[in-house]
Amino acid sequence: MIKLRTLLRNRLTVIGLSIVSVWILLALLAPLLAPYHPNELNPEDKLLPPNSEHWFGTDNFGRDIFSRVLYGARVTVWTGMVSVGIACVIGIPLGAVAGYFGGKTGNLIMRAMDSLLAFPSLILAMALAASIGPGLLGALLAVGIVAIPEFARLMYGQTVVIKEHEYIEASRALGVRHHWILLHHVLPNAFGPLLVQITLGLGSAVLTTSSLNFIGLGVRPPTAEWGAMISYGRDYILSGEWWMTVFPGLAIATTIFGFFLLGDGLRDELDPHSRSTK
Amino acid sequence: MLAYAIRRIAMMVPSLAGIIVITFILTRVLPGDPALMITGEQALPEFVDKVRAQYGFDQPLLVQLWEYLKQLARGDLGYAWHTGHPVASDFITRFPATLELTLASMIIALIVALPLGILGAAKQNSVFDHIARFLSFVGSSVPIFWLGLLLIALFYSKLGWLPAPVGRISDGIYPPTHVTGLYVVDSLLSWDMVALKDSLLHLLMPAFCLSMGTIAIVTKMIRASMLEVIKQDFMRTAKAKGLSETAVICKHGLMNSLIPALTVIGLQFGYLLGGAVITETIFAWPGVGNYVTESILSADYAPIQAMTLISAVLYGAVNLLVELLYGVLDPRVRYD
Repeated sequence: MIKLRTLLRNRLTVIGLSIVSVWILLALLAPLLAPYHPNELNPEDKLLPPNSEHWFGTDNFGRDIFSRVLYGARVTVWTGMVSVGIACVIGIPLGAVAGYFGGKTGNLIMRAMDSLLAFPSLILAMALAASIGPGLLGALLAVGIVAIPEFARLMYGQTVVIKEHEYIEASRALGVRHHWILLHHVLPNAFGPLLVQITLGLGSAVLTTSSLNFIGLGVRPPTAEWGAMISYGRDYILSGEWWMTVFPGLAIATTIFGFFLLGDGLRDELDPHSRSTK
Repeated sequence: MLAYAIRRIAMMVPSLAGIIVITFILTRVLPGDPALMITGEQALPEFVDKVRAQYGFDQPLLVQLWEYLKQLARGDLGYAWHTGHPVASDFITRFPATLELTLASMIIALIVALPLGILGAAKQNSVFDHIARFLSFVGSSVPIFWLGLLLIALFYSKLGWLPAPVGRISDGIYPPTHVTGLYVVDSLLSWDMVALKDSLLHLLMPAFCLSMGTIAIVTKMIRASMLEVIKQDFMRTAKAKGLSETAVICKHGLMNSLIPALTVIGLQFGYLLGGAVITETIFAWPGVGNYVTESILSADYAPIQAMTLISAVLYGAVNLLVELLYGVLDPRVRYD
């Protein structure tokens, strides 16, 4: 298994982990840290630039953008975890079964995954989000479903290699059941690459979800969500009210940056071949 | 090579069949009654029923799928009721705009990413390398829609250097004579310098915006494969022969590191088609991406089905082309 100390040797991993941890902490502590309620309307304070009372300024309804960015982190962390969770729960078993048993079933599963991969992911996510219906649930299900083939493909590749190892053959010879082998031998040995994919997948999930929310295929008003906040700010950026757009955008970019740095750092440490090219 | 290409095209058929079925099912579970959307909320129920029957929405799902397959076999992509035109004609009208945007963003991406990736690898751990790695991380982290809005605020609103982010050409300027549908190419062909300048200025922001993700990934890929190639014996031999470092890197290094990069570039076309959806929405670019968004938001089945099918076919075709290019770049590649 992977040792934490080994992972923390890599600077990228440490920086990525720090950024991600800060956002997770901010999300958890949002009710304590936010100076205002995210949906509190103050028409007399509308469109105020950043100042000592409203650090990130206020929006067109007078809502405090700093508080909304903090609460937006909760939505983002939740969406990322749930959608990647869906992709893992469905994609990993599908890939493992296809790789381990092979044959017609395996072929059918992987061809279905290839068909899904042939779609531009954002278009597929948009169609799914629209079909599931308005709301955050639709967006996170859509993002999760779109990510399933990536996990299935990775797990398939890992399983095909791992199942040829001698200890698997030995387990089979001892009469160990297939599901036990998959759960106790194949899965733990594929953990490293899966962890990298989960981390990178979280970054992609944040990006796709915020894109869906920006288009209007996600959270309903007045929920504070970064992509939706940028969408509200869209009409005001030309008249100079940049803070409505800039701060939620920075929040999205730094979160994705953190996940990608962490994922890359993990890959560096877990894959010696990749490390040699860094 | 021809036999290989034919075999690969044949292999695409099951995938495309899967895509047709998946898209069909997806679009049929879209919320909203399409018959009501066509007729409008105020229409009489009898009229709504008539439209439902006319379009076959009242038939069982399998019957609708069979009818759709028969229609596709005739080369008919269906009718987009939200525009009032056949999907094929909408596609033909809008595709050049998306193609122009996609090609321009790919050109920008290659102009930026190739030197960055090469320099990063050739001068590993230098300032160039740090810039290349930092840019590749930033490029993949910045959301397109946010970058687009910031570019509009800066270059249109604040500095006034670029025209209003609406469409492909300014209102007072005539589009060039239609030859390819790509305004920049058509302006050059008809030697219309006013249209050329204006269409280039309109293209700059959306193309740059769309290219960010590709810059990030191509830089990363070129740098990584170049670092692998640099360690090879033939590179040392080339240096030992007395070739300059530039010649060694550009002639021997780049050619050998292009194959893995080419795969990524091919895959990026799929990403660009997806990314165009957002970019075209922000810049009111009259392309296929905008059309897809409009169709999804108005629950118009036919264009969504057709566009996903077309984008999957294009994606497959680009990837096949990339595989065939391997043989051109590397004579050792055999198509068995």
